[in-house]
Amino acid sequence: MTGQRVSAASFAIVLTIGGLLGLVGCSKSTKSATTSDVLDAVEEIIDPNAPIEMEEGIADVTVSRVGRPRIVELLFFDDQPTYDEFNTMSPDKDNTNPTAGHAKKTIDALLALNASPNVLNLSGLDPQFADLELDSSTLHNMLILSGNVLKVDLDGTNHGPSGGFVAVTEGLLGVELGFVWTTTKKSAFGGRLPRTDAFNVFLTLLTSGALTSDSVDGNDSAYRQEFPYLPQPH
Amino acid sequence: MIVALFILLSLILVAVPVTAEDVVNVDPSSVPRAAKISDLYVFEGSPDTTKAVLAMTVDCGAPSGGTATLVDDVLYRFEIDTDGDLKADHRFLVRSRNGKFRVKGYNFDVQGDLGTTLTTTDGMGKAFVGLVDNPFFGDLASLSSVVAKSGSFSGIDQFAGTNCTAIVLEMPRDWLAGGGQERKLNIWASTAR
Repeated sequence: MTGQRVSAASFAIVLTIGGLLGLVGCSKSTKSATTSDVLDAVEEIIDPNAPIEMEEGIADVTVSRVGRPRIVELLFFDDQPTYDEFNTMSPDKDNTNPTAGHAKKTIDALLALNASPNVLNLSGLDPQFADLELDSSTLHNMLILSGNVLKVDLDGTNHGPSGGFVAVTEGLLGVELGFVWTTTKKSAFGGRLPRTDAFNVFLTLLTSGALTSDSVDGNDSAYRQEFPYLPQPH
Repeated sequence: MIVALFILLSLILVAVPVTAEDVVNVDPSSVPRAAKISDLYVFEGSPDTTKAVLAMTVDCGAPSGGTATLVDDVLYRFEIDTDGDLKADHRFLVRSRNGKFRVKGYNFDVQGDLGTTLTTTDGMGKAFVGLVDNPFFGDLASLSSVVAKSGSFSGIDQFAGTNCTAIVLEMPRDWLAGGGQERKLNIWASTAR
């Protein structure tokens, strides 16, 4: 008896919502209600804990993308349309024009801020980078042509002074630059730490050490040392 | 004859599906802030360094006192390339609806309220979607004038005092490889609708 009541109620809800959505669909020229919309609405009323559909209604058009931090802002800071185009592309398309060409132009301009732009002096990040030689083309290849992604080595380690938190470059550029941090550390985990001063790292990298800091050297709130790691909200 | 050509053309058009990726034409002004990714983080867990953490922030710039915001018709994706071709081999997907969020991916399928931490049934994975302080800091606003040599960095953190909505997943490192043997991965975050 109870089951019959639920079924009857559900049927009534289907008819009601279906009718309402049908009216809405008639009044809006841009999008009309579908059977799927009706079924979703009914499912949520009957069971608010129903699994959220992960793909339904998604056209799979990428509208935003982030790999390495601040690469987009740094390399496309003067060209919003190219910035937007870059954000809708897949990393395997990062080597195509016009985005790749624009990035190269910006890298050249930033490197030109240094008197010796073809010898990358990153001693502002770490003394062992002082003799590192990377020219414009190598940087372009590393940061753009090979994909704007974070690189991670699952066999790497980042054991730092506070558990998983370590020095900035060991995380952000460790895998890309392939450096050996100490004689005992053969590889870095890579990725990016929350407290990484990403802007300083890439500012230093892209200006070959001519600029090493934006004079903002820390966050306004403390990072949590355990899950979910990011700082408490204001 | 013309009718036959018309029918043939129609059949060809029907037979060759045009995918959304083929016709990407996004008006940036139509993308809500909560669908725009500000930052991506990937790092070891703490204190358990056998775990790996994926985190992305969206809706950054939100004032204090707000609530976590995801767009219900947007799919938030952590994309992972395991074979070096810069194409996603597997993904961790996140979507919200009516104040709840669901995470689905390799060994992951959890659903619960925004602002809470969820744990996978085996206890190995955690998921959080909630409000956080904007973890990024810096003076990006001065970059143009610095590059033009017409000004200098102000030293003012333009992101101080603002919040973001964060999606944070923690899991055993191997889950990032999606069950494969690959150890060197390319990872990025994206949103789609």
